[in-house]
Amino acid sequence: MAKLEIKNLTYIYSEGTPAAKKALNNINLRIKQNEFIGLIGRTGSGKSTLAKHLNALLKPTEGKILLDGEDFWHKPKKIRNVRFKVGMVFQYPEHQLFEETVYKDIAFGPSNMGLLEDEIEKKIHMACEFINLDFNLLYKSPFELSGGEKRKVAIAGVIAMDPEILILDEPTAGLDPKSREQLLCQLHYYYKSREKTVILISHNMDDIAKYSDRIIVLDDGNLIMFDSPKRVFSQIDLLKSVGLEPPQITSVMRSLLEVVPGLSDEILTVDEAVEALLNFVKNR
Amino acid sequence: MLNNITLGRFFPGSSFIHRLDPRVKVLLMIVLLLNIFLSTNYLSLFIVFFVVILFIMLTKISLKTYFKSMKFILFVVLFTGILNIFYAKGTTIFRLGTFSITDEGINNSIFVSMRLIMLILVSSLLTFTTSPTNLTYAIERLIRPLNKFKIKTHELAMMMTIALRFIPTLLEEIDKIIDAQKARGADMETGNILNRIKAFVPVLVPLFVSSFRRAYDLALAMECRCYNGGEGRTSMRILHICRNDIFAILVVLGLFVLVLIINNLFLAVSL
Amino acid sequence: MKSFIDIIDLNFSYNEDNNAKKILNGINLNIKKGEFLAILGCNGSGKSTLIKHLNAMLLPTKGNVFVKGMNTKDERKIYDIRSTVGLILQNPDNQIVASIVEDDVAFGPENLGVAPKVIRERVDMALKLVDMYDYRKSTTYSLSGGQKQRVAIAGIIAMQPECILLDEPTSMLDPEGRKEVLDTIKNLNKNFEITIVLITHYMEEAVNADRIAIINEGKIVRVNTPRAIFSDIIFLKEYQLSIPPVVELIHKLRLNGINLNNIALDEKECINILKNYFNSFE
Repeated sequence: MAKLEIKNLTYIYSEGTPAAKKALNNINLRIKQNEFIGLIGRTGSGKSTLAKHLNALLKPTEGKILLDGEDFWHKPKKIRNVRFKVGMVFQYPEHQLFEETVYKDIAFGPSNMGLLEDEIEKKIHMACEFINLDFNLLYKSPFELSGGEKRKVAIAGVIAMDPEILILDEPTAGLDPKSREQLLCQLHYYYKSREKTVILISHNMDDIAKYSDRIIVLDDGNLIMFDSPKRVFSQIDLLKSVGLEPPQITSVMRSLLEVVPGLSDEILTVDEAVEALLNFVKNR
Repeated sequence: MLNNITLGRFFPGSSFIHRLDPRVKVLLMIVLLLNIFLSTNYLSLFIVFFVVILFIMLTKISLKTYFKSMKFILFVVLFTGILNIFYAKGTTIFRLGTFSITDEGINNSIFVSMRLIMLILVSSLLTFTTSPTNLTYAIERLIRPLNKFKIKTHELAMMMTIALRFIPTLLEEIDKIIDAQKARGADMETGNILNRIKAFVPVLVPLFVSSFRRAYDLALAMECRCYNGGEGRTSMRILHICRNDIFAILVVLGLFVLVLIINNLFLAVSL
Repeated sequence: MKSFIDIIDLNFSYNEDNNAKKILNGINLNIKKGEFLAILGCNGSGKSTLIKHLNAMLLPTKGNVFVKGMNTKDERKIYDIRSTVGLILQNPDNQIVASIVEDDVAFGPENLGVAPKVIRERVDMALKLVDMYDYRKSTTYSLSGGQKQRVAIAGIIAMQPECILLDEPTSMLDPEGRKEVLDTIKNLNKNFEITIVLITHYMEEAVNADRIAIINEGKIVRVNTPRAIFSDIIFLKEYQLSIPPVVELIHKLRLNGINLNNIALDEKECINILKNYFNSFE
């Protein structure tokens, strides 16, 4: 059974007014437990709108979203329970920090869930370990930390709720290359070791190609593709037509096809490219 | 959130009213407002109303938009209208328990409601057709004589410019923060008033923090662009009073005189 | 090329006392007129602090910074310096002052007391230069991030500067916005001889520069051409800078005995190098 199922999801902004706009158009998706999903599309394609639906911040105009087979909006009064199961990390999440100490801030989510004090503490420690946050920072004010540390605290605040599905909207925006790499590695480790489903929204195709099991491609509210990275990025022309660029290596390999016949169009990483080119040299 | 509010918004256009000099427009609106409050009889009230509607038609913005801007204040209009029916002396028309409705009460109620409605229409007339920058610029020019009384008119105008510029940004920011805290399970819809106020702490603290950050950045950016207060500052805009402006001034002044004359006539009749 | 900005033994800390942590520690650097200089380094390395010294937003604790021979410590020259060297910040939302595009662009020249007619000309010119002239009457909040950043650049251009400093101008933008802004910067540098100092985390942006300066813990560790910097993979790894995939590809092929004697800075170069190699292979 699918962990998360989206059925005929349509969403119209400011419905009934002249400014009405269809932001999502009949989306159908089935996402499994313990999948790492990449969500891509140019600005305005509907990525954030879709993410907000998965976190029950928006209610579908038409269609349904099912978690473990149960409709999100079956009991609107219990909608907070959905948000506990599907965690969402927004862009620049450090802008939502508000508590006096890092500890209290990370505890905000778990205590909204009604957890007991010792459970909360366990969850906080679990979250800090996954996000590689120094325990010594827990009793500092979040506003004293560096930008990268603040980001980690904010993400830990969502992980501490121990959601079954974790959505992250551009979690590495504005970080330096070293912190980007570390953060993505930690997230990937979290997904592997706790068998969670992670949905990563990003403009960085190299990151998406590297970590995703499957990729959702949106354009103007429509689902264009939902497939493995190799299959998605081999469709270079289709991607370009919706304003996306494949990973650099993939397009370099595509251009080499005329001089290196038989080169696969599913090469995404430097190592794969090196291997393919060396093979070609060897076999001549 | 922003789409539903028309009050105070600017609708770009090139109508007769749009093209009026913003200084003239601000002054004329003040005179129109004066007219509304000076109209103490039905005749002048309706003449003023007629002129206001005429101006509104000239803006080429649909009447619907104007009445939309009243949605929020309609409640106030109704409320004060109804209150006025009951709280007045005069000949009783009929009784409702301990309340009595008088002819003067009904008159009062109509006058108060009409005045409020026109007040909103006239201010919408100004804000719908004048860009925020033009509006601030006009106000800065008009209050400049206050400089003599050591009032820093340039600073006031600059504050207004920045406030207008950041209102949409901050509204968007509030939406974002609310979403983010809701995603962390914040409950803002249920519970008693105290709980709901408490629930807003996680929204207000980040909002303040981000406003400070923005203020710091903005100050830096303004300094980089050589901002040094009003002294020695010039303006890109050069405003000219043209034929249209003179025409509009004459119409509104004519109206002013007319209202005064009618008022006098009515006063003479009642004497 | 004559030296345009001279940074001489620049030290900076937020506290005057000697034990305070030095954000900048003995920086020496000359920036030439018309040059495109990129500055790379981790967050917290002191890049932003350095760049703010170049238009007198910060003053050295020790050492001096000269802009066209003017010392930034000389208060009488402060507006000359700031109109010669403009600064663009990271967040496009926070540096726009007015609600209407053209009014925002006019803000700088208005502050400088330029005559109204001349302001009008400069505003139109600046907006055309960043390709935002069609939006001159639009409200600033309705623009995309890339457009806002271009308006901010136009606001500096209207002050007729000789140099523009940009502090991670693209880090909050999507790929489209990044391309728009980078193209604008390149155009200003190539066709209008405006000196550019760009702080960035994106190597694809840095390769466009004439020189790259790498800063770490308040010190400049290397200044060289992009080609020289990206040839030294060990150095890049040491300072935890990301290596562009095309650079890494060529590097790894060479390690595996493929005889390529050039390094690639961008996709096009990489394709050419490999095509040449495999063509001669036949």
